[in-house]
Amino acid sequence: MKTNRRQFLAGAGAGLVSSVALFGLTPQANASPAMKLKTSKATETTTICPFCGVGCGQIVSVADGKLINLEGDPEHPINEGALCSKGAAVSQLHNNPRRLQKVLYRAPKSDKWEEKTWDWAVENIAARVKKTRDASFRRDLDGKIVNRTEEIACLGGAALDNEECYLLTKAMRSLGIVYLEHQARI
Amino acid sequence: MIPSDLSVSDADRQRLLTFCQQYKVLHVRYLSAGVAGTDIATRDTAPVTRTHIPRVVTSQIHIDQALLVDFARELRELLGAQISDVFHKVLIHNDSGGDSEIDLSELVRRVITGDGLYLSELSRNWNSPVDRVAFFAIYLARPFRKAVADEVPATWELGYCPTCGLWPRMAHIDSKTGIRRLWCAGCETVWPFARLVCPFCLETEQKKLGYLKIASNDQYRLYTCDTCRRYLKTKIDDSSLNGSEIDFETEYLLTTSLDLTASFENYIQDFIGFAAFDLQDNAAAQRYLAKAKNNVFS
Repeated sequence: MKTNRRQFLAGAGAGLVSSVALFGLTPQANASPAMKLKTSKATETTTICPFCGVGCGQIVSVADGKLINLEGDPEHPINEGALCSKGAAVSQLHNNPRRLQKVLYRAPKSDKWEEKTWDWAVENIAARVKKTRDASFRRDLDGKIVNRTEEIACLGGAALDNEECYLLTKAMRSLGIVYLEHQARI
Repeated sequence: MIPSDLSVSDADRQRLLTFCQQYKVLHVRYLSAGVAGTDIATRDTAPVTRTHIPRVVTSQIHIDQALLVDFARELRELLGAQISDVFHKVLIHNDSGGDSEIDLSELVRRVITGDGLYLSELSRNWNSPVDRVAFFAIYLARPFRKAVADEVPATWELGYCPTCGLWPRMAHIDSKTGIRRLWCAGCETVWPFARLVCPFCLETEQKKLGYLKIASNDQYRLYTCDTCRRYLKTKIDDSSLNGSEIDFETEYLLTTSLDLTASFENYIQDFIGFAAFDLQDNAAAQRYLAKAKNNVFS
């Protein structure tokens, strides 16, 4: 019977070429499990550096839930594999016992931090923005329509990229906030 | 220097190193003597980057029969002396008559077009494991593949070799630039390839890709794909510190434990005798190219 390519691949065990085959070491034959090296499975994920607005691409390796390697993404059009010293040290943000991983809230006049949920934080921020905006909103000034509030300001972060800055500005202007500033230092 | 825990015994290691060194000398000698050549006039001038057909498929390769027989004999002696005396028996049966029983030109033509089934028939005739037959065939055909490996296309984005259409057998990641390069065992062509794409099936979903990290050594990884279950041995180092090009062949042959480890984890490699771009199984190649249009072509 003539063998076709699929049958050959299915039954041959002929995938193990290299020097393994030369020395007769095949898993089906006399290779010992002791020859198996200790390994851990890692995945690689692309991400964006959080430090500044340049938005460099990074490849992050994670094994057993831990970040084990971080490098520049050579295929990213912005940095083409390169990273600055801060970007190369981003793993210290993740592997850091002092990293805040939950929302902490300190009430007015309190000397204690309280742990809160993200839902609580978002709802409270929204409620306070609305309360301040409603109380301070001005539709006109000296007979001219202004539709603004002067009691809320927005400070953008250095880690925001162009698109995030655009969206943030749009959101703030839609609320009538006119005091917009950014923090461009890295 | 390849760590001993990744390799074979010291004696086998030395024999393989000697084989690699002596094969390079032998191969260059026969290539410069004219054992293989290409007919530029009849070569398909369509750019390989547009057709995606490996250059060896569209090239007319001249074979000097007399030189080929000499080359095969010397290769047989080298393999027999350094690797296994099995090679003394199986390659050219009728040595005393001066002519080989095997049509070596036919063997070379079958090998360079990726006809792995022909090798399996030979292995039955020779009563020798097909992997050993393939090992001989790959080294026999290398000068003929190299004859058409004149340049690597600058924009080759596929996982199979642009010269001979074989799947890559080894990879290198430059730890300074992060760039991954794949190596073909058939013609020694090296070409850059995307980091987060499986070269064998073009899988791009990052959860299905990854690597086996070797606990005892940071310089080697086994890149794997859970979609097609293929693996690729990969060396990681800073090329600018070494001062010389990585010796893919030695790395590939001497890191035996990596192959075994991959197989214990149920990852495989395709049989080296089959070309990825197989004209006889063109449907598979067309499916691969269709996927490339969606996943990798820029």
